[in-house]
Amino acid sequence: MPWNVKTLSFLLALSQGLFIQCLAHVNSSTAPCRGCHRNSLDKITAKTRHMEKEAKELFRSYLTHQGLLTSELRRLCDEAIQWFPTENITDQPKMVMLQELYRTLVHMKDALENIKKQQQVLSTPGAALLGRLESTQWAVRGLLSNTFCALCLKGVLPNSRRTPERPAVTNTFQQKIDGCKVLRNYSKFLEKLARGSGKKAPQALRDQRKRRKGTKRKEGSLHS
Amino acid sequence: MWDNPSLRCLLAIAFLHLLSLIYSQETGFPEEPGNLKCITHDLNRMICSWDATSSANLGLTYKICYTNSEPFSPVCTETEGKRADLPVAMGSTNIQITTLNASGTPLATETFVLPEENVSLIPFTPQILNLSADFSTYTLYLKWNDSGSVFQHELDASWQIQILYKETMETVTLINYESKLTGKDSILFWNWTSDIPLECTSYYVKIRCYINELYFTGRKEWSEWSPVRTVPEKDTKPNSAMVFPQDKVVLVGSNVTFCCLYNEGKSVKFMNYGSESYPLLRLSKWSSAIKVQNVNASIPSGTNILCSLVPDDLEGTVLFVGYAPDTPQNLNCETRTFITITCSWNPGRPTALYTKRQTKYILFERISREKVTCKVDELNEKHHCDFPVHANQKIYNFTLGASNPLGQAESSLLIDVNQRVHLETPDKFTVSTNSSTNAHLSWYIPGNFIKIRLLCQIEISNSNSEQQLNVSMAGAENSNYRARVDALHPYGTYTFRVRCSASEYFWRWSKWSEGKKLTTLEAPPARGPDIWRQRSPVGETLTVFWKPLLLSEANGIILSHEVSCYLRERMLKAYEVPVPLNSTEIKLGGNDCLISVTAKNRAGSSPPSRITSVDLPSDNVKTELAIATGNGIYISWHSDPNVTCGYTLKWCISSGSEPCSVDWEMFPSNAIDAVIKSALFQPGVRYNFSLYGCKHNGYQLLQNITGYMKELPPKVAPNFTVEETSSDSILVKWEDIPVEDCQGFLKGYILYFAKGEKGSSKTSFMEEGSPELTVKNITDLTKKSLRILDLQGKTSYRLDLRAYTVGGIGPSKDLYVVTKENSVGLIIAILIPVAVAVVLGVMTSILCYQKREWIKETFYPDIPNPENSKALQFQKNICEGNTALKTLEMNPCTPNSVEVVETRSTVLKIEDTEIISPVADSELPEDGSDPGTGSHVVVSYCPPIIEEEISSPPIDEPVGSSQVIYIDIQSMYQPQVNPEEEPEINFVTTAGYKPQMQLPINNTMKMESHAPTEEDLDKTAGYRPQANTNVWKLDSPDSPVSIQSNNENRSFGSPCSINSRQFLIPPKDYEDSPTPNNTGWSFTHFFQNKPND
Repeated sequence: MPWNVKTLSFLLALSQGLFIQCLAHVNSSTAPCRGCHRNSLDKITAKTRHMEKEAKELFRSYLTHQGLLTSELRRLCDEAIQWFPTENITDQPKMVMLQELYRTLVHMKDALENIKKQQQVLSTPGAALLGRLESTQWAVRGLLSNTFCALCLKGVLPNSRRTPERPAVTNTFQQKIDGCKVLRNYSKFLEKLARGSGKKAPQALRDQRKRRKGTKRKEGSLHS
Repeated sequence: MWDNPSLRCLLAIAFLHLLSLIYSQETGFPEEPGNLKCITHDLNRMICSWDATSSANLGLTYKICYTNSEPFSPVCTETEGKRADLPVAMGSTNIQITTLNASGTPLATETFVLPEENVSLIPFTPQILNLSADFSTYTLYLKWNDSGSVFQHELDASWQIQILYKETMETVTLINYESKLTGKDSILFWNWTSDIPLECTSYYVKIRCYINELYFTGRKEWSEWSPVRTVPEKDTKPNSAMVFPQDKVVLVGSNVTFCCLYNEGKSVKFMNYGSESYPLLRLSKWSSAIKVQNVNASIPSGTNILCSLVPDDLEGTVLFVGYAPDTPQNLNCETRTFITITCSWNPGRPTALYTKRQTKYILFERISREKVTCKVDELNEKHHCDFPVHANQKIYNFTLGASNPLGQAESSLLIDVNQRVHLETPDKFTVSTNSSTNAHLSWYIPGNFIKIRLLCQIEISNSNSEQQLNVSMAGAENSNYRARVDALHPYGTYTFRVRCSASEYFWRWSKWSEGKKLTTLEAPPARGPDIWRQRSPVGETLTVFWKPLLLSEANGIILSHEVSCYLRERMLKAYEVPVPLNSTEIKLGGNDCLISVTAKNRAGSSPPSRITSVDLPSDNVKTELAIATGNGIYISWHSDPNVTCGYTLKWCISSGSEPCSVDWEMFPSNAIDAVIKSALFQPGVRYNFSLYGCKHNGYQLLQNITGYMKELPPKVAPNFTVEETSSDSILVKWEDIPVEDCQGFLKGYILYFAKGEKGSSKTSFMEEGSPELTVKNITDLTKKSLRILDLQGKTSYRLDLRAYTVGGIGPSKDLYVVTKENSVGLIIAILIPVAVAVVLGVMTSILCYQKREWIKETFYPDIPNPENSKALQFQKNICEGNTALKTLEMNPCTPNSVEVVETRSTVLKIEDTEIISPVADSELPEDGSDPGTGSHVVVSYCPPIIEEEISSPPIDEPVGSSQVIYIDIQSMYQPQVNPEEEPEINFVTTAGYKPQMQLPINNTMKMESHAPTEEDLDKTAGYRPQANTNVWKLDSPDSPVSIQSNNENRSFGSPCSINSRQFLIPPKDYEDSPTPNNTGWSFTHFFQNKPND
């Protein structure tokens, strides 16, 4: 089994590398980054914290609306989804972290769209869950935009290709479980992200102060 | 020989063999056909078979000849098998079967007569053409050919369809299906719905047939079962499980079976419906189920069903539980625009199904055969659907169909669209005016109303009225409608709004348009103001007053009043008085003139109001009282024939420090009374009115009137004082209450008085309800004092004086007054008792003096005779029946027992001697001890005989030497005495009753060790005769002696008088001493009571 783990890790790293390769390197001209603010990273950190709470509430609302409050079903929701990073991306270099975040959010945006479509059939019109889903969709779009800017400002233009369409699940139960898994993984992902960025926040603040003092020291590496 | 059993047995066997041989000879050859059986499948041809013994295939053939009736010759046919097809004939058939060998030689022939009854009708085995399954509805569809062409004519056919399931092919159901065979092949269909999802397990179906031919008299039998057709259960994907049914919608209250399909090697741990677990039903080795009864309505996202598997896996499905749509209620269709007809309805009971499972509505119109799918919001209480209006169609027959996965319902309505016009709310509503009395209104109504007339209602409202006008107008298409409103009041502010409906067939009003306000233009005031004038006391100036016009009269904003003074049609002076002034002063200069007042607004002046300044003199003007009515003041006056132009009643209301404002009211000449009302009138306030009569040459004051709108109780109590008091009267004086505090016409005073100390009570007389309360009502208001008479001297009185009006009694004021002392009475009170006492004393003295002999004889005889002493006569009730309780008789004495009770008291006491009757003695215990008192001693004694000569005994002489015989009580209780203590005890116990003269000696002897005091000695001495005890010692040897031998003994013989035998009173100290044996009446009781008396 250790071999399998190694193999999997290797494959993961390889796919990650390929994904990064897919991101077209651009020069740092401001044209593609128009409208991007310099402190997009700070915005990402702040927004993540806000979204973490929202994601938990969404997950709780989803469980209630779908009648998934039993422990067995909640256990099903805990199953990992392939496109969510298995590790805490905040432990990785900033560039990798941003790219991973971007990739995950692109998936999440599509998944939320899918969940919303399903819930438009399963929920009563005007149900609170629909409102929360929509709110989360907006938040994801916002974070995605911020992440794009953060990458763009660092000279990386993320690939904007859509994720491949997944086969539609017709079984309502499976739809419920799929949605539940997505929202649970999303909640955990944001939790890790918020916790990780929380640890780094003091360092970021120190950096910000240094910049304000006019220290001309150039940032050594984008990956530091 | 016959006796041999073996032989008999052999013979029997031989006999049986012989019989067998004979039988075989009779039945013929073994090839002979037999046991003929015939069946028919089609009632046309029958298949007959028979048995024929043939040990080997010897090439036997069979010739069958059959005939149905005599005229026909038999038909023959040959067959190699033991089976032949023959036509089915009515009645019976003669069949001859001949067995032929290979060379054609008949071996055996048999003839059968086959009646129709012996032919069986067995239909062909049916074949299932198709078996299909609808998994969503759990329904199996079966298709087969009835093979009707087999029969030439119509026949009734019955079919049995057997449904089996599970691997074990258990029968689920067996159903009979009837059909008619028409002589042609027909395809029959049948379906069956399972309780369990068809995916859960395999289903098997087979059928068989039965022909019911009434004219066939033979046996009719079921056909063989058709070959089984199978609907296999759902295959599961490798390493996965599935739960069925999936996303099914069922009715509330249904029973639903859920099954879980899984791969081999797995098993179901549990299955949950919602959060509840249900017992598992095993369907197959890879399928289990649960059955949920009476399911409840689910949440919008459906109820989850879980199947937990071992090893770890979880699958599930969702069930939607709801209701079939309710019949649409209150279906109503109307048009608002004549472009569409809007139908609305109430969906009734919610279905609990939403989005794609929610109820779908289709509005179908039968005449035009047009249908519209309605989009409704399931959560709305009222649903709407629009249907287009067709140009040449008036009548619409609507059917609203409601359907959802659980059922459908419908509701119908037939309408004439012209009679169902419910217009939209008038829009763009405007109001305008260019005059003081009319307004122009305009509004817009969407829709095409060319074919109908409209009826519009205009609501005109102002602050105090509301009016509705109906306007009929021709309909138009998407047009503005106009109307004009007349007869409005100048400078009136109105609010307009409008609503419309169809005029010819009223159905429903539209909603009111929004309200629009409009103020009409001003017009000159409608009339002149009410005016009054008041001449100054000197007469130099005249003040002219006028009342502001009402809004309805002013026709605008009054800007000023013009006051003019005319003398013979010639205007002397004119004044322009701006608002808000409502009076002006005119200097007459000694002349009189005609005053004219007009009100002016922007539109013009009012007609003038005129009044003369002439005041006629008036004599002897009286002041009268008005009557309060509660909300006004009733005033009446006498009609004056000289008054030609009416009466004017004038009053003045002052508020606070401001000068009073003049007000007035005018009445026609024939009026004699009026109720004056004013918002300024206040209860309890006095108002003064002046009545003027308008005569041809001026105004004359006729009468003054005072009144209240409402009389109240006086505000304050009258101030009163006590002017004078005597021993039996009080003079009270009081002052008038100020008019402003009266709050009504004073009707009198009420004086309450009663005895009462100051500070004893703070409550009023009324509340106390004192019984001695006296009330005096003083109705003479001129009286200012009152003398209260018949009072008690030196007594405190409480006085309470109150004033009252028609409105009630005012507050009280208390006074406390003490009347003076009555000295004569006191003297009389002292003298009378003294005089009475003196008179009584004198009379008693006289009486006693006159009867002194008798008194002496009775109460103080020289020698008292007890027999005659009334004082010693016992009361009858005490001594009744007890002759012993008398004075001692002079009879010879019978010894009595004297009970001596010992006490622990160190003081010697003399107790009552109790005379104990012999009967009582006999009741003593034998051992002489009293159970209640441990040291009871009974002493017998004999009273002394006084005739005997008594010598003076020596002091130290023993008591026993006396003439008086003492019985030693010790002798009676000898066993109780300790011989060793005899000397002392003897002294005590032998004491018994002793003459008193011995007491000092005995006491001395006894008390030496006790050191008694003189007082003690006195006490212990008890009763002493009135004579000197020393003398007793010498001269009265028979005097009783009491000696207390010890502390416990308290019983003695009763002492006797020296001169009598009467028992004497014991010392008082001993009265309370407990008497040990005090059960009966004791002599001492009599005496003990005496001192108390």
